[in-house]
Amino acid sequence: MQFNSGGFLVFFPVTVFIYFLIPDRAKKIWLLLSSYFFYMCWNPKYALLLLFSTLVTYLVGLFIEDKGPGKKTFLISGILINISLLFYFKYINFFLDLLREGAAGLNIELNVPTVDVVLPVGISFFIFQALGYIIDVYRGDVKAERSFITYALFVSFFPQLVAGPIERSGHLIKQLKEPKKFTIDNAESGLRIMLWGYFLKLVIADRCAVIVDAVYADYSLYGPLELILATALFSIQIYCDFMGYSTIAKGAARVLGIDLMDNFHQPFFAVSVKDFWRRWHISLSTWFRDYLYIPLGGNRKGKLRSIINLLITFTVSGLWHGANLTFVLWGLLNGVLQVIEGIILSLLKKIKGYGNISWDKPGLRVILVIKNLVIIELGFVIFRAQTVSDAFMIFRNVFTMKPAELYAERTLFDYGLNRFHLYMLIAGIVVLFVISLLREMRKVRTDWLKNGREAVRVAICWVMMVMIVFSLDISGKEFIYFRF
Amino acid sequence: MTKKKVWLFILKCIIVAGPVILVSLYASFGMMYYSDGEVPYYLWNRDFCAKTHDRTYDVVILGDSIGQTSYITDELSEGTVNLSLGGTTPAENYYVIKEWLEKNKAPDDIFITFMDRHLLDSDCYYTRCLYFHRLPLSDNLEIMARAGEYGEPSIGIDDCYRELLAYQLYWPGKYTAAMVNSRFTGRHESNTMVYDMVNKGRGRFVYADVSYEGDEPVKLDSFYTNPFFDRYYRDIIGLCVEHGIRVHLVKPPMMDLFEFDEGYRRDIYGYYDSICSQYPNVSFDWFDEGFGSDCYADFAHMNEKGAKEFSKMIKEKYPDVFDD
Repeated sequence: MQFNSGGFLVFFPVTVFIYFLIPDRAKKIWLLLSSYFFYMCWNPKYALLLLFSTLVTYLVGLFIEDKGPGKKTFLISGILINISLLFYFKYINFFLDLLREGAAGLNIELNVPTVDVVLPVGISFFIFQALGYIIDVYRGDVKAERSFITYALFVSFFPQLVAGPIERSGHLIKQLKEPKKFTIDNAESGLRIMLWGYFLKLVIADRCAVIVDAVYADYSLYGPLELILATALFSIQIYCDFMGYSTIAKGAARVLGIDLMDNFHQPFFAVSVKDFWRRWHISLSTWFRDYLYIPLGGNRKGKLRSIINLLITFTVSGLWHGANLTFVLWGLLNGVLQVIEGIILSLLKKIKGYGNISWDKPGLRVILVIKNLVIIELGFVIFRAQTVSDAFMIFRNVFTMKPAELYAERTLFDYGLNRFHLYMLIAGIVVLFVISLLREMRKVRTDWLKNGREAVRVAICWVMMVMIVFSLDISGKEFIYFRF
Repeated sequence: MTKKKVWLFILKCIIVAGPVILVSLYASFGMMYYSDGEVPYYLWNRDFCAKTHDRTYDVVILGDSIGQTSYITDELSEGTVNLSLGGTTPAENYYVIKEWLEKNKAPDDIFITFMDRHLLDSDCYYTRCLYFHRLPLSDNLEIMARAGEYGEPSIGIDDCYRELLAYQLYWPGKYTAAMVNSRFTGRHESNTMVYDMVNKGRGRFVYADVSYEGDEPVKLDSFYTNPFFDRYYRDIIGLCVEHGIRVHLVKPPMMDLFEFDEGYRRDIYGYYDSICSQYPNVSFDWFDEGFGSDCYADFAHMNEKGAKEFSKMIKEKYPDVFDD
């Protein structure tokens, strides 16, 4: 079930209504049943996979806490079982393809058949959340959860089950333990947050998708300006799509009285790639920081080792996004760019007077933001392209001017959006920019719709709703991060 | 949590949900203002069939857009009414005639005309029949249940009940595109004009009175039906026979660019003869001599000239039916 489906419009109010109506002792079971129902709307049999992963990590958590010396064995077993599930369901065919290509390079013909497997929705998210839990228990950061219902709910909590944010056990389990009471404040604030999430997804992301899909479907027909426009729109699309999902998830959880972490913090205002990753998909980047980069040694074991750790972390992070070399390359590129940034920074620091430069000056900051946007956009070309060679062809087309006669005469309306939808998209992007800027300047709160006078807030929500209503005819696209 | 706070919250929810409610209401009541040019005959058909008429119509025409464009009621007789609906299949037509027979005296004769493809699949059930709310919920539920039973894929889609609900509730996502394209009220005048025209012509609708200019020949070598549509087709005939109505299955002339071989001819006669032999008082006529392209507005639909010619042929063929 998708947040932007008619089914969710029925599912969510019913779930919330019954949750607050039933006795406290039944609340968790109800939420758990609802979460499994939510997941089973895609493919009922994969609920077994979710249950299996939950059961394994639940038992591993208990064993780790109970067995002193053997706890490392349990941790490794738990990690291996879950990573194996992830590998089989997500990467097996990718791995077999690589194997075949590698063998072909050595003139060996490998007749390994493709495995007939469907990628379970959200597998990367719930497995990472469960792995985070057993590592936390192993480290003693949290106590193993004794109640299976609470733990199963932690892994499957429906707002963030299929596309995050990847929550930490220490943050979410304790909230899930306590049955919540209905409050107007939570309901109002949650619904407002959800409205903003829908606005991002339906008004902006789905409209960007029309142009991006048209251009990327046959990039060879398009010139540099069109490819640049499509790539810029893709970055807005993926941001609004994913942030839209995370925001709706946060709002839905808030209505139930539960706080989820923020997943984005104005990433396009980042001044460096490193800064970008502090602001983009925060729950995943901090997961990799805490459970991969630091255990690898982080930056504690010398410069070379820290560079290698960084490259490993970002390559794995790229691979996490999907079984395609484009994602691996994208992850690696982000790692390499951060290494280069680090080198440049250390060289700059040696220049006399560097320490006196005020990096917070608006003009300088704007330059850095634009510079960073250009770099990030390059990465998004690789992320969006179907294959690595497609990505390089797109780069080539961007940087080589074709003879004028090869260009079809097009206007902005020829990419699938009519005048009305194009104006709506522009209006949506302007709203997003203004809100992001105000949040960046700390003029408004994260829950920015909480600002201002009541009447103004309701009016803003009303206008947003009008824009959403007039976006419904072109929406209905799946959230991009479901694929991961 | 005070009562005042709760009521204020509910009020705010209603206000914010206002655009959805308003657009749905407009979608429901303002169809003639924003919908495309096909809405008038769907609404006319709905209004006309829902009424019990003082006068008796002794000839009813059923079918899809071919039935709708080919027969000129005024050329045929005063007592002829055309209840054909563009884009429909026998499924929708079964409920149209059922409703008509429940409210009105049964006609003496019924002419049924569908293009071949509408016995094979449905291309407009969702975008026209559901969109314009031609049939009540119960009929649509029956159609979908039966489509599921027969495994018919064009109506029995995965999300059929969700789609049905969306149309029943006038979900904005289904209607806003037309509203925006019409600038909300821009189609009222033309739709009203068409409605009046359809009313005057007792159901006849002209898509466009132009001449087709293509010259690419099309070869037809086979004809087959889907069991789901065949079942409804036979149900229509069964219903008519039950009411003592003579049924005339008619295949009007196709454009002379269509070339059909013996296989096609054999399939057509094989199918229709099987129906004629199953029921009493059912005849099949195929006007297999094609008209020139100047008699068609597009590849399939007759223009005024073609329809006049065909109506004349029908009148001559059935002198005892059209005797006024």
